[in-house]
Amino acid sequence: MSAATATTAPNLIHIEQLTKVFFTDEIETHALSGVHLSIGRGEYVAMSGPSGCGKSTLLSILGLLDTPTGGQYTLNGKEVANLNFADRSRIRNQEIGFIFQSFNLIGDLTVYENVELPLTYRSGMPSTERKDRVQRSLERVNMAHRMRHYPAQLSGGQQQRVAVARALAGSPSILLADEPTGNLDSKNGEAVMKLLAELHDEGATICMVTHDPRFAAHAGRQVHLFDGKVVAEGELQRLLAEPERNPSTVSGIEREDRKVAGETR
Amino acid sequence: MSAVLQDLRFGLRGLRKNPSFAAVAILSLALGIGATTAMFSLIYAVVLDAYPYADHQRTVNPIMRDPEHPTAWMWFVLTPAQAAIYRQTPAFEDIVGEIGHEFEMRGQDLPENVTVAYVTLNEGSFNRVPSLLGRGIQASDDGKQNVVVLSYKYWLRRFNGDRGIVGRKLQLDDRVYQVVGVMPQRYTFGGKPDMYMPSTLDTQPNPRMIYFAKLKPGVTAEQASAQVDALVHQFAKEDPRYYPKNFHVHLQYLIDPVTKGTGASPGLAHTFPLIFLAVVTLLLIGCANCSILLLARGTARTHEFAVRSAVGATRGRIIRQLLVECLVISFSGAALGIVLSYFLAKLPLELLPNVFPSEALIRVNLPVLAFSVVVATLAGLLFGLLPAIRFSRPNISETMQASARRNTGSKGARATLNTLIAGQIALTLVLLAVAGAAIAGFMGLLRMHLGYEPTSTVLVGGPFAKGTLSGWQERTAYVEQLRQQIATTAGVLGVENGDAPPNSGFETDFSVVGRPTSQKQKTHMAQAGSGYFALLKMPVLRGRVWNSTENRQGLPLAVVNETFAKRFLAGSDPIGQQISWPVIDEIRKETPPPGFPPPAVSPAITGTLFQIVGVVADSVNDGLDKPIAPEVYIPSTSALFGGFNYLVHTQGDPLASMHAIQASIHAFNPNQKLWSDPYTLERILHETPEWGQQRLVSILFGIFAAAALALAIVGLYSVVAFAVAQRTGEFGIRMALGAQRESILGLVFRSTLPTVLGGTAVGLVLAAVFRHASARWSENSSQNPLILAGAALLLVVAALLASIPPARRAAAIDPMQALRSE
Repeated sequence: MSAATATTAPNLIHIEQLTKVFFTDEIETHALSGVHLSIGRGEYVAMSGPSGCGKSTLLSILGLLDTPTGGQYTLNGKEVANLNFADRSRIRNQEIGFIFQSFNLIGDLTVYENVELPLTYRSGMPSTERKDRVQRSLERVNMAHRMRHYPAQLSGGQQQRVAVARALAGSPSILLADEPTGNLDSKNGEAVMKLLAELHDEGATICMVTHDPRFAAHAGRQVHLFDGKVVAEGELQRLLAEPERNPSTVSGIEREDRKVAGETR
Repeated sequence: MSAVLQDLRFGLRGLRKNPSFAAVAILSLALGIGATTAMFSLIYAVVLDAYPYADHQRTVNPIMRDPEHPTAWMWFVLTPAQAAIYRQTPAFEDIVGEIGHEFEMRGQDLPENVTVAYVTLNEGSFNRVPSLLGRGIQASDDGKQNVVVLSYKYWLRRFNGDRGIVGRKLQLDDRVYQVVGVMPQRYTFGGKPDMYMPSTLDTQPNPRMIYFAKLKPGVTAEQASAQVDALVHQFAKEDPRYYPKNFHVHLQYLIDPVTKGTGASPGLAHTFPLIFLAVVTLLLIGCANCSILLLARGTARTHEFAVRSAVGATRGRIIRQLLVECLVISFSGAALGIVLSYFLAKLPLELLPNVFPSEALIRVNLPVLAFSVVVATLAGLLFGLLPAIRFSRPNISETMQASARRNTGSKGARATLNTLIAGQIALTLVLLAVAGAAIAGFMGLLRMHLGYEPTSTVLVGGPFAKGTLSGWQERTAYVEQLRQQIATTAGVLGVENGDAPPNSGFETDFSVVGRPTSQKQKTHMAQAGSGYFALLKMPVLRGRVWNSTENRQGLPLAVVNETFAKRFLAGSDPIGQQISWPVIDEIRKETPPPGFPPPAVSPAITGTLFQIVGVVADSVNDGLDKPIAPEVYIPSTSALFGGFNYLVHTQGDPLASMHAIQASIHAFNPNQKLWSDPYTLERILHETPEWGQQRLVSILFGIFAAAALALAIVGLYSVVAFAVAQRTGEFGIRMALGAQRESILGLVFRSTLPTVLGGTAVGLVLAAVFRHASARWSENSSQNPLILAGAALLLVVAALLASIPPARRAAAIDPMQALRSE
């Protein structure tokens, strides 16, 4: 499935009026303020924005690692904003594959065991199937020859490839990548981006947070966040340049974004 | 199942990768589980599986109780004719008789005394314990073949476990016996004799035996007691010589003296609750230690849990994984604990040999293993649950997105750690306080003013040979000549006839001439030679002691102790007063069992009156924990029974002189037998139940308290080290801003102090509450508040010492490095 054909597919993710407020002592921090966003099946979306704009918070909510304060979140046709911990764990396990900036591999597990980890939390999967999936995932990222190694014995690029294999092993509906090249040098960064592009070409839905425009360019669609809201590219540049922001402009950009999202349905 | 195995594999790998964590956690639990398992092993060995005899739960031991002497238990003996009637008691399935006797084994340089139990010919079918070698006593033994069966201990000690012993001939007294078998280790029926012989009226010295009975299934001891009481009262009416005036018969199960105690010693129900509380406390401290270690380690594993959760692990799954890891630790601890328990459980048996059944054997068997598995599982769940619940819900988003991961540990985690360490300190203080009190109590016994000098003195005695020395004159002359013979032995400094303290003499009624007599007026009466008080260094406070001539004449003279003088002769001069003892008349009339010589009363004592000639200082005479009883000493020759007792004072260790003493006696009379196993006065003292119990409590609590203190130190060290690791960045910033090393040290100590002091305060309250309870079990425990204060001080100092290494590490932090890692 190509990126071009994916725009006609039904939405995998749909969020409306999503808010996230952090309460620290007596201070309220509005990380997300009424975000609307849809991601279709097979899409490759890059989310960017300045530090503290809420992109990682949004990715955490998309990945069910965190819960929103308000708004709606539909994943694969099911409302998931207010699920309990166990249900969110189950959906994370079956629907979502994570790729993190700091790899987040478990140091005490081998490469094989790290990739196998999400499958061990799936009840009823036969060990032969598990083994087969791990093998295929590792082969897909060219790391099958290092399956008995521990993460500490691998380079950063290799660790990230293992993390990708782990994300792929469960055949998730979407891959969520949070600054996947942030801890890599440019050569390894490019290699990981190439791997994600190949996965997308093979049909994977990907949502990636990045602050690097070069990597954002790999995605079929770019979403920009500023102060907890989705804004357009040009608007983002202007808002970043202006010390005083115009809330109505931002609101208009959001409407535009909704319109674009509606067209993709 | 495969997921559990995976958790198990991961748990084992985690322990392998963190050997110091694993060692401390496993050892923490091993101490607690070991102590608990030891307690169970002991209870199993001495209560649940104490006897190897068939249907021992239905076997009862009849005793007579005199309401006037509730602490004195008596066994009644039956003639063969009475035994035949006794056997017909409806409540009984069968009875078995035994009676002890001493033989002299000859055929070596010096004769050796051996104890023999004569048992009725049905013993084999009654107890149904198979022999280890050869055979046991059997119904076909009719006494003509002179057969003997060896006990396991004697076989090991005397014949080095020679498996070819069956068929060997032994000369016992003047007859030759053939060894026909050896009984197994746990078979000690009849009071741990060296050997067993079949009981036939032709051979046994006393036809009157003690009979054990096996109750019919469903019959209780109480029901049977009612039947037996009526029967035995009938026997007493027929021949009152062997029965007290007032008594009732009580059938007790074999285990009853062990659990409920005897008149003279407290049962296990007295001491075990205290020890049980101690082992549970130790286990709790061990569990708290493991929780502390797991919480500290878990905080460092926050990232791992977040990753697991991010890829779909549910809360239950993470809890299960952590609990499996905890069970790996607790089962490893249990394995080590079982080894520890084997040695720990033996300690009470060795320290209190007379309290526990001699059949009891500490073993690591299936029930013990099953118990330790249960304890390990419970302990694993107990110490693992809190950390498991805490870490099962990580803040995934925050943890996963951190570009540089730090294991900060929440305020809640630190509060939990501090609470656990405070609880651990509190419990440790309770153990330390009880141990301190018990040790102080035992030290008190060691320093106790006995009123006599027990060192370097041994009790040597023996029976008069059968058919000889029937008259008082002959006996007196023999005892005196033998005394003089022993006195000439190398290394012997003094020899005197008399009873051995601290439980000397027997209790008897008396009256003081010219004074009103109370019905409950009783005194101890002991016999003493003329040099007895000097030998035991008991000062004569007033008057005098009879001289050796007076003693040889057996004059009716008496010396009383201070308590007697104060209680019964207050307001008058004791010297010259007369005491009347009706018991002297009873001794004169006493008919001994056939074959035993009758007692011989001095012809100089014509009535029952004795004149007081002196007062001696009080000495301990009624056990170690009771007040000194009134006591009257009379010349050692006043009444001579079936044998003699000498107190032999020697140079140095009296047991080292025993061979020479025995040789001297043998030279004087080759046929003179001795009571087996010579007792030193110190051994007699140390084998009193009070001494043994206080020593047991002191040693066990000393061990438990030391273990608890070590655990508390390790726990506190872990917490402080963890806190220092968490605050490395903070310390780096402080030092970058100019903080001196001393101020960092102070910071660490100040952060530890509230926990330590809080735990100590709670511990002081608990110890004060517990002290009242523990006093019930350990009467000699000191109640001195200084001990509590000392224990608290020890704990605080130990806690501060445990904080020093991590505090020094904090003070040695390189600010640049710390800030870079931030």
